[in-house]
Amino acid sequence: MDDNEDDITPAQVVADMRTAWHSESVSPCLLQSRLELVHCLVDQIEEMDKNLMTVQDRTHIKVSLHRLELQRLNYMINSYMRLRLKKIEENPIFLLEKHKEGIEKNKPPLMSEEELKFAHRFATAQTSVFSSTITQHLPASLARVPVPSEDLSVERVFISVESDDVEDVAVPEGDDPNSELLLPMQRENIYFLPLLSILPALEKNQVRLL
Amino acid sequence: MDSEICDFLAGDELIEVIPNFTSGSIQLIGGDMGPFEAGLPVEVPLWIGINLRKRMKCVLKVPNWLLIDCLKDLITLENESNSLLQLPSLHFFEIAHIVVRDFKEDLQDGDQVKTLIQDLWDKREAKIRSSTLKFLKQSTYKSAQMDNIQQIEITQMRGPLIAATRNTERLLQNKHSTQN
Repeated sequence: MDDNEDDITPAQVVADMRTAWHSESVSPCLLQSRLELVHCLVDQIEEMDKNLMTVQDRTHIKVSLHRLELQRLNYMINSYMRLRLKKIEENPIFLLEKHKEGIEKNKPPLMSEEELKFAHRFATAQTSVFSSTITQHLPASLARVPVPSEDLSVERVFISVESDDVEDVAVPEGDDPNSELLLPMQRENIYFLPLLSILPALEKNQVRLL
Repeated sequence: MDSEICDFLAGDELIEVIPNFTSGSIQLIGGDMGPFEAGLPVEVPLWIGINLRKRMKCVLKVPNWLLIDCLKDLITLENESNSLLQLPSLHFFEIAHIVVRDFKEDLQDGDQVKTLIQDLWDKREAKIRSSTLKFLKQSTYKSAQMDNIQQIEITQMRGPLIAATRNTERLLQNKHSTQN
């Protein structure tokens, strides 16, 4: 997130949150954490909730529209968090490793503090269940919890180009992995293509997952 | 992503309604709405329009692209073009569906509008289906340009397409690793 977080309007936060939620819902892997948006929105929601409590005329049209908006925002936030937690539950140990590697490479954090705590607790709980039920009865060489690694090389995604200065993207050809096809990226183009080819542009927010 | 999320996202698209009440602007978290003046069209997100309409507080100013003549033109153009036509809204079908469902009193010839939209949907689906089959029959190209495709159309085709290309990719990887 930028340093000038305070300058961003609540409307912009809502729009960013919508994009983050949308992207998370269609991404095959866990995307970088945007929990700062969630925190910011939750603050806004609580403040609005407090204000609404003090209103005398509860049936007024404004009050009901405010309430409806809060419900929509809550839905969006809950759905976003559920999507992320579900992805973390699927492979917590691997994601903890990936998070650590990312931090070492100075990338933005994959998980927030809270999500990290959750991933740790989930991984520990999972390991102890495995150990009390299965692994303790196995020979020592087999008594390990397997950690499947993520194979993003088989994943393809839909993207739309959101910026004017996106470089051409090279996609390897299927029949001959040594030759490449260059895809021109013009604003509003929509492509279906391998995730790994577009990942750099995605991390720079130049394209959006659809 | 499923069609419910598509519907939700379409709820944020702007439409014009004509309120029958007067009120100052409303400072929502997502932005200011209004002011509302009885009889004057005002732009609001679809979700507000639906709520007001249910409480008989407004009528919809039907967007031009949901009028019969315009829909017929769109279908003709869609027929003439080999690629997908750019539709007037990114959530064309979701909005059309919501309008037909929640604003049916404000829509003239609702049944005909429904038929035309279904027609347009079928034409586009046929194009998408035949090009998807062509794409899956080959393994040289791993990417496809799909300009003007709608979010709901992507959502509908995603599951099978992703599952199929995942398998293609695994087979290709096996092939290349045995060749080397």
